Amino acid sequence: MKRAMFFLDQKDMPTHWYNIQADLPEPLPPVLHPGTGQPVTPDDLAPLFPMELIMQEVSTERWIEIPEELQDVYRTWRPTVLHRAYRLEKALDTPAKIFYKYEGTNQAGSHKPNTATAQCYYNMKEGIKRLTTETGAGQWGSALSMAGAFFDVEIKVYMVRISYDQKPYRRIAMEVWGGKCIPSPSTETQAGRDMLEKWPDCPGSLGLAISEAVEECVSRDDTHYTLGSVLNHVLLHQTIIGEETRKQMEMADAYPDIIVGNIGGGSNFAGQFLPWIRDKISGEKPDLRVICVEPESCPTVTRGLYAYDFGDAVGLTPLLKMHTLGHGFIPPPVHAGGLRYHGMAPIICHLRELGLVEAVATPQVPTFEAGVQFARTEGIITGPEPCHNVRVAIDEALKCKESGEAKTILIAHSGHGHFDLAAYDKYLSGELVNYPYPEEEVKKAQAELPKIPV
Amino acid sequence: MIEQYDDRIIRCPRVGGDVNFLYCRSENNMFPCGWIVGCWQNRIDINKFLEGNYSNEELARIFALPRPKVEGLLKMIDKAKERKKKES
Repeated sequence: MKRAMFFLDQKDMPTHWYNIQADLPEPLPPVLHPGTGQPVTPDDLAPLFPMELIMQEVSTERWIEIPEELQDVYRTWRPTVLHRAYRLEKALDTPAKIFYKYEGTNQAGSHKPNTATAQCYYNMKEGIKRLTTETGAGQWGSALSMAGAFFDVEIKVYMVRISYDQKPYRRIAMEVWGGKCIPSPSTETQAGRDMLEKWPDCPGSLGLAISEAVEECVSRDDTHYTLGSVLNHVLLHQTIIGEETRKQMEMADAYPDIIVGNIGGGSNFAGQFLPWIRDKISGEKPDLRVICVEPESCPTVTRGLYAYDFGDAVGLTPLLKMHTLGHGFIPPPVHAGGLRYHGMAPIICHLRELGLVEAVATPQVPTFEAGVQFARTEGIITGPEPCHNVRVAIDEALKCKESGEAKTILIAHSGHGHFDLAAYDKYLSGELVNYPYPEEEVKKAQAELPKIPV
Repeated sequence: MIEQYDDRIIRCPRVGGDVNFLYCRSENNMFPCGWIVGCWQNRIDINKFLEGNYSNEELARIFALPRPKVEGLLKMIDKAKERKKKES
């Protein structure tokens, strides 16, 4: 019998999150306060987050215990299954062994509840009764609404209006879980009212939705704010994915040669690969390849540089070290304006800079082609974002076919695309086109990056 | 004409869904999103559009680097505190 699913018993679910900050060969660069130029202190972030999460943000302890009450909640969907993609392997006629850890089987359909429930728990413990957040497509808002129901915390979600109008099912899901979802801009905050006065039909933006969520949080003593990606504590909570996978790969008597995952804010993929990369850092598995995949139209990690940068026009504001094309990059005439950091997790930028992870970008047509092939072999309709890593996994498996190598490829699969079928519809009807980024423009922009002493 | 491309549709990886050009040209507090060139350059003459509709100062603002998350949040905290102070 070929075993295609590897189940971990609930009693074997990991009880600790893994904190990569303990094992980094070089520590993360400090976050500097834009007002003082000094490293950010826990007090600076206290208006938004409970102290336990702030301490996790800066912790260098290797293992952080998952509270028992939270473990009980995790057990309503965890451990998730590790799959062996035999049918995909057969379709590709490859000697490669393809595994995927699928996070779409939980109640909200993605990896987001791993941190949504943790954030709700710590806020509840600190006596916080309400949480605000923003959501784009609604995945994060859904996960947080479900977490609020579990911990009896009121959830208010500011959803970018254009998505709110397009994805009513996400809003309805949030409401079923008891969350309150309103379109942003709204009349409930000054930031929203100001915008509506200027432009009553404003479709909103993520930036405005965050402003509204933060404003409401700061204006009330019983309310905190939550974020579903980028921050260190968010990535930490996701490491339960990789810790489970390590045990399951052992059951499969396998160890990955390549781990592939898509990166937006970076949280699902980091949750998978951080628990493995410690083997590379320690020298135990020096050849382990970790491949971050991003859309070719928004190449933040594949094409950006990593340097201190300035966020204001006169270059006075010191910021985080990030992948960027530099402060001097104001294209006259406007070229390549899209090439820059747009919200990648600092931990991932740092690992990339240390040469511990690779990054590739995939064009959109082959990306959806991979999504369709995955659906027709493994049955799962993959979300548009994880389709990127399915693409790269298939490409690596095809390389194995050419070389005859039987490499083990592990895909971090963040969730299904049931609310994104319109994107598949466009692919199937031939409406999608590839838009590669001109290399010449990238080189030109990178040449303008200022040299800042660190 | 600034509205000429408003009905064209693209998938926005940040929002996670379809948006029209109107959204892209107004996403940044009624100014274009900093990613507008990368996303649109092979679909329309985006350079001509930007040069024809925005001043150099505005373009400088549009293409100023976005703030990292934590720094942005700290600024928003300060702004919200100021608003709260004014109201009380």
